[in-house]
Amino acid sequence: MSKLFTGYNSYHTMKILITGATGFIGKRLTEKLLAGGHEVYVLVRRQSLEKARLIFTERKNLHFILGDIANNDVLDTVGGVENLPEDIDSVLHLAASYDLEVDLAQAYSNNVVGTQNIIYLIQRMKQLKYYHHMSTYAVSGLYDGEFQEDQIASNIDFPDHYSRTKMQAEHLVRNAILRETKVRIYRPGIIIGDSKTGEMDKIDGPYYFLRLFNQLAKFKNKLPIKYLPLSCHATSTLPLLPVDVLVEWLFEMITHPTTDKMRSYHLVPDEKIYITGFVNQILKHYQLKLKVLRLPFPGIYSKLMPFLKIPKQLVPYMQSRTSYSKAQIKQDFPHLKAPAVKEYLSKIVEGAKGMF
Amino acid sequence: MKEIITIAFGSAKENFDEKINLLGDTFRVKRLGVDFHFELALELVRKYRTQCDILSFSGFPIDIKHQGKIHTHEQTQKLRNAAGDTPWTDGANLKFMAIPLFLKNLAQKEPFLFKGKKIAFYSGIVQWDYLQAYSELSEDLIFADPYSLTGIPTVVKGLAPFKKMAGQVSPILKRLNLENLKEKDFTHKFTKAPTMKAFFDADIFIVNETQMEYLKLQDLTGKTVIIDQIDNFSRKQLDQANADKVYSCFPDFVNMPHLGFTGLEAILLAHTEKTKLDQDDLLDIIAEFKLRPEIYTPKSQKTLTTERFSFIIHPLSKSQLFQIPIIKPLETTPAGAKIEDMMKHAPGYFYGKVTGIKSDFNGKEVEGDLFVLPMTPKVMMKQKPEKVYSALNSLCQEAHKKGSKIIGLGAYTKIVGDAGVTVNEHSPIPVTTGNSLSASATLWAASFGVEKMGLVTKDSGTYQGTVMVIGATGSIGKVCARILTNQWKRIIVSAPRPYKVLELIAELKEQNPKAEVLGTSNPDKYSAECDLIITSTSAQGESVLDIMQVKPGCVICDVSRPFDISLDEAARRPDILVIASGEVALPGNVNIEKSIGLPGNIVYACLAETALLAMEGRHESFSLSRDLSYERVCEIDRLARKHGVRLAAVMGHAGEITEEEITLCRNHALKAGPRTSGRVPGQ
Repeated sequence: MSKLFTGYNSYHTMKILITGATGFIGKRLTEKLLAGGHEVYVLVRRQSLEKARLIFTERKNLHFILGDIANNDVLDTVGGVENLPEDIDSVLHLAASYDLEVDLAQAYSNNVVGTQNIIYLIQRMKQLKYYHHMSTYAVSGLYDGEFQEDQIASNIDFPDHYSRTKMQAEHLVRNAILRETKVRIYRPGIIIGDSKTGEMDKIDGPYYFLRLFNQLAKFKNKLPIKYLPLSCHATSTLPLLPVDVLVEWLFEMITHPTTDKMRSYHLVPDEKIYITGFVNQILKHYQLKLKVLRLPFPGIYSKLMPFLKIPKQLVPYMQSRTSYSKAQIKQDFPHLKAPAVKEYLSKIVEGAKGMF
Repeated sequence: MKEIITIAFGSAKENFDEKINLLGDTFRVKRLGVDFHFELALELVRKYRTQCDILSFSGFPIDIKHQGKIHTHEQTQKLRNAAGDTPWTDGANLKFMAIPLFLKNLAQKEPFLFKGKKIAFYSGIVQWDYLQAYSELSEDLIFADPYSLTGIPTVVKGLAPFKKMAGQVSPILKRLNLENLKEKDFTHKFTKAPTMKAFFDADIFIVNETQMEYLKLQDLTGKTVIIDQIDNFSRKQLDQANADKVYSCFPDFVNMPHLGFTGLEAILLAHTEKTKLDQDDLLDIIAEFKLRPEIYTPKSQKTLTTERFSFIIHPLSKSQLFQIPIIKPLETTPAGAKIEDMMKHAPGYFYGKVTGIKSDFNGKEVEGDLFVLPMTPKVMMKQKPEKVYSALNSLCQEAHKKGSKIIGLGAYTKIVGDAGVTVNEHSPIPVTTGNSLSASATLWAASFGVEKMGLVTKDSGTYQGTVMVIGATGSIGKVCARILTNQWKRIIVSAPRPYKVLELIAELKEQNPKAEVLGTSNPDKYSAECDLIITSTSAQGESVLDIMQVKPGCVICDVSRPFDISLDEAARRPDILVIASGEVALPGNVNIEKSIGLPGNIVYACLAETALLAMEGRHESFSLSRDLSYERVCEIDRLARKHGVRLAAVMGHAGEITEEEITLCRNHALKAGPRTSGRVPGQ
């Protein structure tokens, strides 16, 4: 469909190097690119090669390149499985430390130094046309108001090392001198399980609450409380996006990028998913007769959270007053739409149960 | 390729990873900023020490050498320990040589930058190695360390007290957690305490790149900043603080300012393949490079800042003196007679403002402060020059405090003694006599007179007549002769000493081979042939020219003070136009708050020169002493035309000459008969 648009590049086959291909998003996107017939070069650490081989079945257009983004020289120079060809035209940098509780040195090494190393590598790729950088909506920090897709600010508060180091990484990408190479920055929202199967890899973000409700549901008739305290604003929203939708969008954006030098996109739903409304829907799903009570004391709430096995780092995100502009993505990819929450919520809730 | 990793205490946003070719070697330099997380710095050192040839530490405290002991901050020591066998550097050696050298060069190039100025340090500890160099430039050093380190709003004044304090607190300083030193707000209300005033009153502020990230700078309007090295973030901060001028000590020869001293020293270390650099290694390398400071002019938030200048005037007569309100009632009393003399003891004072001066060329606005020295010429010339100098210098101080960047000397204040040289030496801001534009404007007036008389034809820009310069070998005369040689077909230069005349003739012929140049030591020989005569002598009122022999319709421009042509002489020849000077009008909607003795908005050309220099940001002693330079007169002439300073009044011996008066003079000349005869009417 998008081939009808003018001003878009469209490849019959890309030669694309992917970092973080074995991750939650990476493995789905890599499969899709492989299925699309593209030549895919998966960067994999020596010690993870076996694991990678289990994830991806052998194919003609799949290549493993040994290396580590945390090393000054990303590519292993000795004993590689294959060498990286000179005519790589795209690089997709997905690898990152994603964990709200990650320690600073870890987050910094993988997100900041890792990106620096990748930039150094791609600056030396003579035929590289596009560099696709996976950022996150969290680079907005605790910005108050509508955050623009090309906006980046360091003088705002960041709730955790993850969001701060991702912001720093994105900043470096934006300021990198990349002569002929075009830059794409993707800022996905909160990624949840597959909208069709409910499949999810790990407990994260909203899943901590799902786990709590899942446990409460076991005592649903004997609950001593009537209210569920939530520390959020009435206008706080969750930019949820099911992983299959994200992968579909990314595939479209990577295979049909515009010809502009630099673009960044917020990959979030159009729908405003209010936290209170979202939680109410889940409570309904679990048939829990609890009423959501908004609590104005995030400090106290943060102290309570660990007792419920929920990381306190979630609280600032729940308190968020940030909204995310989609002007650029709507202009360049008007056909990319996310399904409404109510359409996939039951799949997500059911899919999550397997993990608890 | 040699790999260098710089661990910087500052922001990660300034990180880079680059290949650099220098000294015939290739280096890869990677900067990792830790955003003031010390533990992260430590982790990164441990993690990356094996991946590089050299580690460099930027923004962490360097060693403090005091009374024979070396004090190393505990956290700095931890970093060094963590480096293990990997050679490390912190740039301190290079800075220790380069910064004082840079300061010396700067002071030589811009003497007014430091002279009589107060230098303030956000933290003297951070600048420890260079304090000696600063103390050689100014005695007034002010240290805000108490506030920077502890938040107590007070300062330490003077280098010795500061060193003493630093010595006493060094055991505590060594243990201060670096992360706690973040975010010092110099706009905080605590800093408004009177104990901090001396800091904010300073003229020059010393800061380093790392500090820029955690200091919230006060408004730096009109202030100068010296920074060890400048990055994009610092530029933004300094733009916001509205600093006037910023000097970065980092040499710009590598065209990689972000490399910084630590990065550069690391490169040098890698290049020499030593584990530590000594001063001699660096001496050789520094000698090889030419250290040029980078000068950054912040993009002011206020798009067009108003530059200030000052100008000193004084009463030209006793009657003008009594226009001073507080002594006015005394004029008619018996004391009145003595007042004139007594005023030599009175201090100078602020008189009023000149506002609304705006360049026609770029809209740049300047504003002037007028100061009065309450001495009449008679009193001033009777004084010992030193006394007048000192009175003028206190006005220079005052002007500097009011934010002026340059000051001009009006009327007799530039005649006293050595004509501004001594005053300039002791002034905190450059002094100019304004003589260059005065000369230029007088020649404008002469041309205007010649044009209005309309008796000389002009062919392709050259007057087809004769001009004579009397006193042509003197400083002003020579400049006039050189300028007029370009404008007139025939020029006669006159001076008492023939060998000097011959020298000048050769010079003028070289300058304009087309001009006919003649010399004489007797002006009367040619006066009947001249259409314009410039007299610039030191004849002290003695006659230099027999006015009765001068050609009718001639314009005489009398530049000498006292005048060469007396009022009586001028009156005897109504067919000759005698001009004393040209005064000018400044561009813009100029408002002169209080009268400076000229009608309307007309100002002295020397005041206009001061205003022009401020407008151009040329804070320099443009005209000093009794000597004039041809190049400078031409330059100020160009600047005046560029910004829209124009001739507004032709002044004669008894005030402004109107156009009617010129017409009258022309009619007399026409009546006087054939202009080529050389005959003088009445003979």
